Amino acid sequence: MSLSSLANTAYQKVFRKTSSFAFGILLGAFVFEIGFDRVSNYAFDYINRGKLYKDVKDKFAAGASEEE
Amino acid sequence: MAAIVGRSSRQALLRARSSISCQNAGFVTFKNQSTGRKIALAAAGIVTTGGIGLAVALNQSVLAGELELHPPKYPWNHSGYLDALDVTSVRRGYFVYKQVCAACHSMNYMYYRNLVDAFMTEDEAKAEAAEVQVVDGPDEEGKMFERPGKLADKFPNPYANPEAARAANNGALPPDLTFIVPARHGGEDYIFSLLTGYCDPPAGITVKEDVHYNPYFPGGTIGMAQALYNEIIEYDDGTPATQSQLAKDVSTFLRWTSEIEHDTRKKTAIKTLSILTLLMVITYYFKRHRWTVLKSRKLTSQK
Repeated sequence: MSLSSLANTAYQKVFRKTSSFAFGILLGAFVFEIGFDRVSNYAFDYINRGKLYKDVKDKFAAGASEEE
Repeated sequence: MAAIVGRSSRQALLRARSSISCQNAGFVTFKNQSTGRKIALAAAGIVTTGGIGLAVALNQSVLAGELELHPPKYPWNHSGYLDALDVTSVRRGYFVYKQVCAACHSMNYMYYRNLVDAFMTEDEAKAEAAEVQVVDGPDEEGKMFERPGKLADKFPNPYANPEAARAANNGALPPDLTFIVPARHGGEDYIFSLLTGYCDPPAGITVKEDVHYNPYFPGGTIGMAQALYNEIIEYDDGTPATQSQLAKDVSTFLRWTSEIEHDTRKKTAIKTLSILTLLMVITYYFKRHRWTVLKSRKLTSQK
């Protein structure tokens, strides 16, 4: 029931008019890209955890301060 | 009833008329041939196949005649499709390059700014750059002058020009190391094997003066002397500086210099492959969706 009312709302607000449909596509592209980038960056960081600069730079900084 | 009529009438339509003569295809068959002929044909086939195989095998064994040892494949922890470079190893490799290799080998396409946030902070990279003297100018009087390096400067060149480099190294030019890893067959494996592969020449091979024996170098003799020994430098992170550790770190560093976009490239691979997979699924579904009309229609015809 709620799903069908949601679909109806989406139809009325987004899909019915071409202008709102085009706007929805534009907005959707932004939202999708941000989410997609976050997920894939997280995947890359997870696969390579401990090897990337941001994982080990604190260690370098600690070593440098000990030397000074 | 209508269905039966339709089916039978369609069969009648599809049936070839007897006025069209069926063409007989001339199939090749061994069925009707004599046993002797079959044996002869089989023997001819075996001899031909064996001859081709022998020729290929002989050709390959000729290729193995060159006096060059190919490096084994080492399990680099950045060689997977999605594996980033190990930053601690790259950083150690930079210090090996700076303290050992840079005495003879230039690195003309690297700038100190490339080090920032790759494996160093900006302050560290500035300090590294300030250690070298760079020729700048001309000043107001038209003279060239030396100043401490800045982030925008290239790595220093050990020799003024290639001729000076040759003169200082018995005529052998130390190659620029920026892109050496993709420029050599075997890549990091070759660099690692070359650096650790120095040994006494085997019996029967005489090595000329001023060259050194290394089985991994094409031709067997190399102008470069063995450069890496155990404990030749000291790592600031406490890693034991064995010869193989030094060679591994400097090979990783040279992979980084040849491809400073390495990690970004592999990150882009994740994005590209997953978005293309998504699009492929959508395209497949859309194709099925559009073809449903064509695939599920039923044609009937009546006279």
